[in-house]
Amino acid sequence: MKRKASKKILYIDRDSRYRKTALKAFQDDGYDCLTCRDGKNGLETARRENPQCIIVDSQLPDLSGEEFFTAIRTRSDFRSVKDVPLILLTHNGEIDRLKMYSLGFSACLSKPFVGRSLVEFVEDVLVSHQVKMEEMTCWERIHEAKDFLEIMVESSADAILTTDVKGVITYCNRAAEELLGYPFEDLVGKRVSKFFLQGATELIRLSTYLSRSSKLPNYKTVLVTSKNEHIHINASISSMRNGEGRVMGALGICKEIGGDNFSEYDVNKSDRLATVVETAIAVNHAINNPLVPILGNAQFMLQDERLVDEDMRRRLRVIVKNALRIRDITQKLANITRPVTKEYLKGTRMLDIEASS
Amino acid sequence: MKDNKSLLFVDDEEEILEILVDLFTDEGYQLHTATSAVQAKNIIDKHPVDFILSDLRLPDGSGSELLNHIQEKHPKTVRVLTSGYMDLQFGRVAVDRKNGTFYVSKPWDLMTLKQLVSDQLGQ
Repeated sequence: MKRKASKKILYIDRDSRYRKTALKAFQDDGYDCLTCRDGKNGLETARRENPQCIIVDSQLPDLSGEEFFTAIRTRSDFRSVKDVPLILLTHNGEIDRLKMYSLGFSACLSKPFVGRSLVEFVEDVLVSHQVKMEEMTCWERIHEAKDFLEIMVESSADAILTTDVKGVITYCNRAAEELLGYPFEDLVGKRVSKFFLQGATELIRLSTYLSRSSKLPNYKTVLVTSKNEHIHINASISSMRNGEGRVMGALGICKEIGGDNFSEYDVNKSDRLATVVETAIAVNHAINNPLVPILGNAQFMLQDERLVDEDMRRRLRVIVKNALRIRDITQKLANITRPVTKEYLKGTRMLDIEASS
Repeated sequence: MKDNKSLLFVDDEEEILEILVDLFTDEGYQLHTATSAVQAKNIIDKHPVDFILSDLRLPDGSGSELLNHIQEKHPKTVRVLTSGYMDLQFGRVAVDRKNGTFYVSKPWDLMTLKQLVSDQLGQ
């Protein structure tokens, strides 16, 4: 566990006695410690040396602690240290802690302190900061992946519909609403055969085909719109199966081809469906793998009898609980065969994970 | 007794291997790690292992192919396949009755893994 040897700590304080105490304590514990006496030198050292943690006294000769940290967090030339934990040293509790935390400080430590307690405090801050950063990264990945899937389906120029095993529409995208001339609410819950020119006969024929072969690319048929117009389409239809291989319904990707131009069709639609499935697998892989070290490390720390601080243990339990929630969400996303959407912003819809099944 | 037992973990992510090594470090087993199927096969050729846990997706092949290879050469080795894309609840272990391979979904519960090793290696 001597990894700390590579960790660089920047300590800024006008008081030379404290600087010496900090320098000795960190060096004795294997850290690389740099000290400065004022804010200007502190900023310059931070930019040049890229420390993993910055400790600054609230009473610097030239800058306030607030001014110092605002520069670190906001200026583009400090990009490499903008996410490191920042610790403020306070005098007799004169600092408004709530304000300090809202400014982005990771922790406050009251003076006076002894060298050993400073090192232990910084070690605690580094551990909790690391876990916090990993959790944030994980959430960002989930949101990015979810947004990507939704945007991909909703921005498709082709109509995408899903049905359950009985042929009842469970989801449709905006292009499907435009193609058929009905709003989402009027399509979901209706039998898809209602929109086939050949009605239920065609649905039975399709179901029979899909029960033998799970894919039906380049299927040409005629749909009836809300204005009773007949539109010729080319569709790629596939069975949707759950993790156990059981058929949960069907997915259709449709494109209008025009009655007089029946031979024109796009063979790439089934490829696009494959991309949707591949993306769902990638989302699970990309999120569940980083969850292993997050959950594993949190479980390890909770099992460590040396960790007696109940507040730290509570925080770790929060991490475990939320990591398991993320895992439940990814698992549910992968198994959704009856997607339900809800309004996200005006004119935009999003997948309702709770309501989907 | 445990000194005779050896475990091999295969995953292309170092941080995942680190968790597994930390979990079994003080348990008295001989521990081996590999970040690819080829590396894993090299280790097994030199030191047959009693237990192998492999990720499904490896940079140079699939974990299930690796486990099939091991089953042929060392049928007594306990084989566990893990992946982030499995439909298994947290803390659950599944077993394929045909070939005896165990399945654990990522992320795993550390205690479940420890229990699985100890049950299968008879500790």
